[in-house]
Amino acid sequence: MPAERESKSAEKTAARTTSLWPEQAPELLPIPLPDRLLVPIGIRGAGDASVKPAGTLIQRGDRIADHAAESSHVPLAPESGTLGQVRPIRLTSGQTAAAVELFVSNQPSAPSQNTLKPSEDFSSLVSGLERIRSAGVWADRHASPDLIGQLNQIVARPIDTLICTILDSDASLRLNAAIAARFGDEVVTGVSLLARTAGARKVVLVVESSASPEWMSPMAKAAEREKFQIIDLTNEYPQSDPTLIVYSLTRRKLRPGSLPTTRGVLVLDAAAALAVCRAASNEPMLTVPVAVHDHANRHSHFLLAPVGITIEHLLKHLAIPMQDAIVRGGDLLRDVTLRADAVIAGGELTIHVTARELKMIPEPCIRCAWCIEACPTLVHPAQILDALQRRDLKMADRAGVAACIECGICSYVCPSGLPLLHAVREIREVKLAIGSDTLAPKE
Amino acid sequence: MATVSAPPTPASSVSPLHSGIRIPTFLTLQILATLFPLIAGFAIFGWRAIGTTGVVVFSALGSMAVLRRVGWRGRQVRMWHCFWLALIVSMMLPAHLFTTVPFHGQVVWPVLPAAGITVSLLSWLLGGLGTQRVPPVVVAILFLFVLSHDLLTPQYVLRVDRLFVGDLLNYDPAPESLSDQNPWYNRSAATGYDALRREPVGDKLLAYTSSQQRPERASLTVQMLIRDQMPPLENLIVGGQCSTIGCGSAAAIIAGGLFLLLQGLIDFRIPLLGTLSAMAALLIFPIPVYITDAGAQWRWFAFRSHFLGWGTTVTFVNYEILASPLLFTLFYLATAPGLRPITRRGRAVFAIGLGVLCAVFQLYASVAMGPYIALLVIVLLTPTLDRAMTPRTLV
Repeated sequence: MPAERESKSAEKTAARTTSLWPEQAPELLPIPLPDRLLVPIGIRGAGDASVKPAGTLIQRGDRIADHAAESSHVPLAPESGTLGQVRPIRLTSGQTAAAVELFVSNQPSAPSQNTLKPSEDFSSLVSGLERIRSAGVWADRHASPDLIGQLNQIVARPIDTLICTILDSDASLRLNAAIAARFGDEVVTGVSLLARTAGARKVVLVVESSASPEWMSPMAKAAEREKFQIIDLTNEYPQSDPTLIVYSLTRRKLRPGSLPTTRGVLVLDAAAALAVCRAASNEPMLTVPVAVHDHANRHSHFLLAPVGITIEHLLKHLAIPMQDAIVRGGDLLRDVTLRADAVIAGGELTIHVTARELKMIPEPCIRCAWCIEACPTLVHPAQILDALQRRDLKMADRAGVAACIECGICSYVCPSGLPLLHAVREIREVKLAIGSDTLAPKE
Repeated sequence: MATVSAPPTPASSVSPLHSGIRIPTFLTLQILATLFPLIAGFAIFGWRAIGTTGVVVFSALGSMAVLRRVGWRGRQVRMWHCFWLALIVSMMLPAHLFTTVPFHGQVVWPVLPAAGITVSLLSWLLGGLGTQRVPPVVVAILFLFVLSHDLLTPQYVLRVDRLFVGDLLNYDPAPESLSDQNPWYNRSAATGYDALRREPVGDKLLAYTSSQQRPERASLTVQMLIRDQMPPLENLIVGGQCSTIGCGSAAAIIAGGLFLLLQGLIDFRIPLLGTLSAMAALLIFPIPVYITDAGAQWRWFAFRSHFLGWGTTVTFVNYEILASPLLFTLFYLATAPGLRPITRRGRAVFAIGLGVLCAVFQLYASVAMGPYIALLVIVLLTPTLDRAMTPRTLV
């Protein structure tokens, strides 16, 4: 009898795993090009890229700017076309940036003039960084913090560990896992190149403990060859956050918002590692893998989108209506809402489309402490809201606002429906506005 | 197109950014947990218990319906919250109050609407939902206890063959011997009467521990108290002892508490550490090891006395724990979100303090009200504990 029970339980587990991990990883399908792309040129304030004048004809893969700031990638044309005006945009991560319009031509693409120089290889950190920048590679999203910024920092401050996360926050959008399954070899090569260049002695690939072995085996074989460590982690949201992943694997305390390299660790995700590998083989980053979850129809779409495509075009292609829908970039609970003109590039690569929900009417705080119990960084979210209402920044500091990773779990569990995540964001905005970390704003 | 079906999402969730558990669900779960001891109380104390609860709840909801329209506080109160408070208050009252017949020469039924109105009025005064620091139910019950102590002393319990349907006030006028070692549920059916009249165990214990009891023979020891004057312990665990509606069965209280724990509504530290610290304090604090006409011999660490020993002292402690509303307080009152500290370490200290205070008040003041008074005192420390025990953030 116990054996029978055991086999039944194994069957159940297998069925559950199959439902969450289909036999085959989804294929990333290309999207037809829109008429206009908005190619980001200045990320994180690096707006001094000297963009070629409007009206310039440009080939696929050509540089859009003659030179770019060191802290930024070199913007490349994802497709042949005519350059337009520079305009402000919002990325899928919620950041603002500058972008140049590119009116895509209907002519077939000519080979790019932007051949990467043979000297730009990965023999040294500086040349490796230059190669990555020149290939238009950049990643600046929650689970994979500013890659160029991290590499720039490594030049002055060496690291000892490289962590590549294959974790996905949402079970319905396993983009990193799909990349690892489809391009496992390339992901490992990208990681290997970066590790060698950055001088990381320890290289860790973090995978979900419940991940399908079929999905992970190509990557695991390549990792074994390179003698990389593969660590299985229970992927409970928000485990893929750099603060938590760095703490879990190295016990180093990374302040949210800081680059992991300040703690001697380089963190990137599978999509970034793939882009680095392709940069090394003279393939610039002109497309990015994207996953869209349509909550109304409960369908996930895995795509290969050209850099600079807007959410509006993407959803139109997927036939997902935008009326009465809310589009969010990145992890759902972080609640980063996107407008139709938000641009897909090196920011968040997962998109959630949900029905417009009724506004939640908050009740008074009943001190249930669920927000504290659920907080992965031991912040006191309810006290932060209290501090915001009292305009008391010292109180917010005592409540640990600096340690908040804005995962949104507090708002998720709060039975009173209090806007705890938004309170943290507002407190941070107030702090930025007054330029101080400790002084309370004057009335 | 590459599409993958997502795992099903809960259909009840309105917003994908929220778990869907809002205040009404929270309160409903708490109300469901109170049903365990409440139904046990209805069984043990019969239809008068149902009537008692009904009058308290209706009077509380009625008065709250009026108070909701009064001032800004009115907007803060919620009927579900008031319903829960009223249920808790009714569980702290004895069932014999539901009668129009004068009891010991006094009309007792007005106590019931008074309890309901008092709790809704206090809830309104203190700010309704999200009320902090002052427990309206405890204040209401202590207020009623001060006004009508004798009327609130439970004295009757139904016979086991008259569960639910029996009349609590149709009792055998001859007081039953407490020392009958046959548990309540094994008693043979009797004719003529629905209920038994019993002296509350708590009163007997308090009379001894406050050394007010005079020995019938040369001396009185704890051993003799347990052997001659205490009912079988099963009566306190399963049911069958006269008590308030909610405290009739320790097993039902624990079952309701476990339900709350499983639902994640309460922290295990408070009932666990509260009970353990109360037991430890009851073992340590001085009690009379024997009483003679000349006076009482008090001893700290009574279990070290050659009169008692471990076995007798632990049995005495068990009676103290089960005869008082300590478990009810620890599971249902002290775990209330507005009262207990918000941090885990704070809750641990709070629970230990509450347990020790319960022991002190039970031993020397009142077994029936000791835990409530202790709770009222310890909640004063909650803000300090919250400030002092704030956990350090991860980074």
